[in-house]
Amino acid sequence: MGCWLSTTLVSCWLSLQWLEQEECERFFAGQVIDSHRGQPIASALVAWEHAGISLYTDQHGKFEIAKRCETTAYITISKAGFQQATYSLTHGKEFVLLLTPETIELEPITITGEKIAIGQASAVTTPIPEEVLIQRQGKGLAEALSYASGVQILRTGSSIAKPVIQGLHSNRILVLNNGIRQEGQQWGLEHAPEMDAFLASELKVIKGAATVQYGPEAMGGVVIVKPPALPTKKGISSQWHLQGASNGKQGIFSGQVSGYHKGIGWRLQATGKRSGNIRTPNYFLANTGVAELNFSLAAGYQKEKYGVEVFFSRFATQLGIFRGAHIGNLTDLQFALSSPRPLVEAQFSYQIDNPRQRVIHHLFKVNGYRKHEISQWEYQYAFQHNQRQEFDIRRAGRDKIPAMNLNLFTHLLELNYQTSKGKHWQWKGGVSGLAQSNLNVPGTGIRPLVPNYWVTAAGAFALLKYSVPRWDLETGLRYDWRHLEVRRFDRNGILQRTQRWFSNFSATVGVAYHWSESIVLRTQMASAWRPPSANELYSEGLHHSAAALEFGSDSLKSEQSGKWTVGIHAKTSTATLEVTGFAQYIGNYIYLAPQGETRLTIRGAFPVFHFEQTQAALWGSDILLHWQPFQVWSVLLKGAITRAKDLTNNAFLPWIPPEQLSISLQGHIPLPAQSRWKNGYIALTNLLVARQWRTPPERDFAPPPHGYWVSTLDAGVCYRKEKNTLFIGLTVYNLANTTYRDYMNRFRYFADEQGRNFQLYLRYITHSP
Amino acid sequence: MKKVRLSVVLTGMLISLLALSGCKRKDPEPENEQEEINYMELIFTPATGGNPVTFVFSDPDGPGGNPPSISAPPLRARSSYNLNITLAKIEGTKRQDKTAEILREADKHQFFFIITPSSLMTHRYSDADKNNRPLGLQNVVETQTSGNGKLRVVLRHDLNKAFPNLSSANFQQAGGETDIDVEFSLTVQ
Repeated sequence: MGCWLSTTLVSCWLSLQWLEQEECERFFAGQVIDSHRGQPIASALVAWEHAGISLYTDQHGKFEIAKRCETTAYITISKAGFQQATYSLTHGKEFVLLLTPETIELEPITITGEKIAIGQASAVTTPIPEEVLIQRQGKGLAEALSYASGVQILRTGSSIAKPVIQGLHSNRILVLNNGIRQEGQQWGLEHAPEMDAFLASELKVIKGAATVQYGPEAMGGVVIVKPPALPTKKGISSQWHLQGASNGKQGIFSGQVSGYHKGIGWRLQATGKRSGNIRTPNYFLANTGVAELNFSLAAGYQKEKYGVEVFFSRFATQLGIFRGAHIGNLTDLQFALSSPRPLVEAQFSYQIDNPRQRVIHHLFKVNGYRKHEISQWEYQYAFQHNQRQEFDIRRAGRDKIPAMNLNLFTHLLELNYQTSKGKHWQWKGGVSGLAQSNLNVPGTGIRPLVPNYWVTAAGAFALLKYSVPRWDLETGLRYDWRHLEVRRFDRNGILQRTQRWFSNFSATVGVAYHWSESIVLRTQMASAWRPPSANELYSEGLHHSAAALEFGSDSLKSEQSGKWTVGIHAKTSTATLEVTGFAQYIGNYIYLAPQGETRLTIRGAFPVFHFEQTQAALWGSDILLHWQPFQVWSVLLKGAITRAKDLTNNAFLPWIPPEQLSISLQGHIPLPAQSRWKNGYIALTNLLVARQWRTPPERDFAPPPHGYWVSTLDAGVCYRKEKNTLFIGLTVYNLANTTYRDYMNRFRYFADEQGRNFQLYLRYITHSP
Repeated sequence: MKKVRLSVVLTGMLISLLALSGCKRKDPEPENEQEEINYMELIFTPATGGNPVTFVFSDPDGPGGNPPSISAPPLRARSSYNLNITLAKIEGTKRQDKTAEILREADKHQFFFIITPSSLMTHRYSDADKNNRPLGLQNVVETQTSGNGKLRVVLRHDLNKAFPNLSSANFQQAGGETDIDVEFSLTVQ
C-alpha cells in the first residue's frame, strides 16, 4: 500500500511540474566546415525548404534557425565550389556539418545527429531501417532486431524469441524501452522481452558494453526501442497496420493516432495479435498459439526551454508452449530425441492450452527536460509492473492454478545533466536510483523457482567527450551500488533472510575517426559488470523443460567484463560497408556446470547441474555490405561469426550462434516519377546457417543440428495520395518449405522449424491538418 | 509563468526514492506442495490368501535432496498376486493420500509395468477408466520360475489412451509425460 501511495505522490509531483511549463520554441544550429581542410565556411546558403527558411552562415560558418514546434530540420547546404549536402538536424544542439569541395568527387551524404551524441560517438550502433521494421514488427522485437548483423535469436519453440547480441543475451544485454531499462523476468531463457514492437518507430542496437551510461547488465550490448516523437504542431496523423500470415493463420491489427492540441502533443496506440498452431513442412506443432493485446498512451508538453512527457503502456500476452516439448523425465527426453516427429499429434487450432505463459507488463513514466544556453537537464521517473504466470499440466483440476506466479515491481529515477565548454568539450553526468521488489503470489502449490527479493540500487556516472573536426574522443566512469535482500524457505521449510551487497566501477574509453566524409572508424574499450540473478543464486530443484536438477549458489560473485569493439563504416555513392569486430573477456562468468552425477527421483534419474563461475572469452566479427551497382539492382550481404570459450575448462560455451551468411538480391521497380506508386521492390534473400560444431557435448542432450539454407521472397510498393501513404508488402518465408532445425532453438530436440509462410502486410499513414 | 527550480526537482527525486525504498517487506508464505507424490506402495496380496508383500518407494524431501529409499521384498515363485498401488505425499508424520487424484482422472492416466526379464512375471490390468481402458491401480500378476530381475513402474499423464495396442512396450509413442518412473529390483524365489 505504501508503495502505491509513494508512486502516486511521485506522479502527482511530476505532473505539477508539467503544468507550469510554457509553449515550444525550437532552435536548430550548426557550423559548416570544409571537410577537406577543416576550415569553417562563411556565406554558405542553408535552406530548409519544407519550412520556407533560407539563410547564410556567418564568418565562423555558423547559423541558427528558430522554428516553433519542429523536432527535426531537413536542410540543404550549398556554396559555390562545394558539393551540395543534405542533413537532418535535431533541435537544441549545434552540429558540425561537413561540405565537400567539388574537386573531390564524392556524392552528397546524409549524416544524422549521431556523430554528436555523447556516449554513443565511439560505439558501433546499427539502426534497423524503417522498411525492415514494418516487415518484422509483427514477428516481435527479436525478429526485427535480427536484421542487424551480429544480432541473432534464441528461441523457445515458435512463440518465444530473445535477441542475442554478439553471443550474449538475457541478463547480459539491456533493453531500453522508451528510455527505460526494461525490468522483467529476463533471466529466463524462455522469457521473451515484454513489449509491443509496433510501438517502435526507431529501433537500434549498440554492439558494445554501454554500462557507463545505462548501468549494470549492459555487457554485450543495448537494444534501444523508441516510439515516435510526440507531435509539436497542429494536425492529426494516424498509422494503421493490418497483417495476415498463412502459417498459424495469424492476424495482427495495430493503430496509432497522434495529434497536437492546445500546446499538448498526444498519442494513442493499440495492437492486437492472434495466431494458432504453427505448421512445419510435415506436421503441426501442438499448442503454439499466441494472443496479444497491448496499448499505450502518451502526452507531452514541449517547449524550447522545458518540456514534460507522460507515458503509459500495457503489454499483455498469452502464449502456448509446444506440447511436444513438455517432458516428464530424461527417458521421455531421450525418446523424443529418437523420434523423427513429435509424439503429440496436432491439427490446426487457435486454442491455447497448458503449458502456457501469461505475461502482463505495465510501464508508466514521466520525463522532462530543462534547457539552458549550452546545458540541459533531463529527469525521468518510471514505474514498471511485470506479472508472469506460467501454467503447467497438472492433476486434480490444478490446471488453472499457475505453477509460477511472479510480480515484479520496479521504480526507477534518473537525473542527467549535459553541457559543453567551448567548441571541443562536452560532458554528461547523471545519477539514478532503483527500487525493486519481486514477489511470489502464494497459492501455486509449488516451491518458487526464484524467491521473494528486494533490490535497492543507485549509480552515478560521468562521460566526457572531446571533438575536433575528424576526431571524437570519449571517456566515462560509473559507480554502482546494489543491495539485495532475499527471503525464502529453504528445503527444510525454514525461513531464510539473506542480504548481499554488490558494487562496482565501470569505465569506457573510445575514439571515432572521420577519415573522410565517407569513412568512419570507431573503436571502444568498455568494462561492465552484472550481479548474479536470483535464479543463479537460488534455484534448487527440477527444471522440467531442461530435464535437469539445477542448483544455485548464493556465494556467486558479480560477473566482470571488458569488451573491445571496432567498427568501420564506409559509404560511397553505390555501396555501404559496415564491418565490426569484437573481443570480450568475462571474469566470474556464471554458467550451469554439469556435475557428472545423476540423482534418483520419483520421476526417474536426472543429471545434476550447479551454477558455477569460470573465465570466459567471446570474440567475433560481423559484416554488412549493401551494393547498388545499378539503379534497379542491389545486393545486401550480411554475415556474422561468434566464438566463445570457457577458458578455465578449455571448453566451448553453449547456445552460441553458429556462423551465418545472408545474401539478398533486390530489384527496384522503376516507376514513372509522376506515378502515385512509389518504391516498388522485390527481393530474394538466402540465409545460410552453418552447423555449430563448437559445442560442449557434455552439456547438451543431442548433437547440434545440421546447417541449413532458407530462402525468403519479399515484395512491396507504396501508394501515395496527397499526405496519405499506403504500403503493401508480401513476404514468403521459407520459400522451398525446407525442413530444418536451428541450434539456437531450445526446442530443436523435439520438432522442426516452421514451414512456408505467406505474410501480407499493409500500413496506411494519414495526416490531416 | 513560474520557472521550476532545479533544486526542487532534485529534492523531489530524492524524497521519492527514499519513500520507495522504504516499502514494507513481508515474509513469504510457505507453499504447500499438495501435488507432489513422494511415496508409492506396491501391495502384492497372494490370491490364495496370506500376508501381503509390499514394495515401497519413499522420497520425503522431494527431488534433488537426500536419495530416496526403495525396498522390494521377494515374491514367491509360481504364485498369483493382486497388485494394488497406493500413492501419497508424506510430510513429517502426516500422510496425504494421492491415489484418489489418479482415480478421479483415470482417463488421463495409465500405469505401465516393465518386467525384465519378462519370463519372471506376467501382468494384466484388473481395473478400467470410464472408457473401459485400463488404469493400473489394480492388477493381477503371476510369478513364474524363481530368478532375479527388475520391475519398472511408470505412470503416464495426459497420454493418448486410444493409441492402438497400447502396452508397456510402446507407451512412449502415445505421448503424454511421465509422472512416476521407479525401478524396483524383483526377486522371485
